[in-house]
Amino acid sequence: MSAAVAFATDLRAAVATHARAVDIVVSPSLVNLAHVARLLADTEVCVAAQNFQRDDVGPLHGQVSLQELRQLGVRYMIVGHPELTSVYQGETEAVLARKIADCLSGRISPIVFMTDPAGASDGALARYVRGHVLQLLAPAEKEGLSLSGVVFAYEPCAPVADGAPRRVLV
Amino acid sequence: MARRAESWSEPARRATETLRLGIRERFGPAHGPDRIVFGGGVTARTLPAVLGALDVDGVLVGRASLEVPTLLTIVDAMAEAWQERRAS
Repeated sequence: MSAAVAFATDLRAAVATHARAVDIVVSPSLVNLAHVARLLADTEVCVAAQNFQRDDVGPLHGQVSLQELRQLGVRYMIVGHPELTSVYQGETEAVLARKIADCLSGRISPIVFMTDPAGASDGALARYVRGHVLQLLAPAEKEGLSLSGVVFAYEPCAPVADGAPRRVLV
Repeated sequence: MARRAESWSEPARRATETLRLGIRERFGPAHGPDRIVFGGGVTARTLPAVLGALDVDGVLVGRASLEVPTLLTIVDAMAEAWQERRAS
């Protein structure tokens, strides 16, 4: 049994004892996602996927589509994680915006990452939010999709605990 | 401890407030995204400082979520914080 499946098994048992007035979302790796989603299917815990392949680029080897993830019971999707935007895959703002619209269209809530530019003035921060972060919602807005499902996940450049500063999402 | 808190709390407060204000200005109070969560070193120990410093709707927990009892400690603290917010 993988660590993720053992975790989901324990979590399933723990949440069964009493309901909690908060939403709990877990995001296992793709390898464990189907099993974890099945284990947590009839609980208050929702499952998020860590990434998906956009429909508009066609089937890509080794990638997974939004539709497949939805069939597994995925309700949330992480979009714009700094590791994908900067290190491995170079996701652009246009790609992220399209992914957000695809998620909302597929009735999946996107969890959109935002990291502020380090040391930005109030004005620069406001311009960044208006000109970059909220622009990610433009395609979804244009398509008339409800934006209420969007969750913004803010990560500071300097984390609360000790550790290396996070990369800036631009 | 205080110096470490200062390094993240003020920028984080400014960023989340700016984001919430930007959402309200662009989409109106009822039509935009209404949930902002905070991630970045959230643990059961740091959660009270996070919730005390920021007006956020939840937290994104990384390493500290890998053990169910620890995760549930954070979840229960969140639930308690919401109850207190609603009551105030």
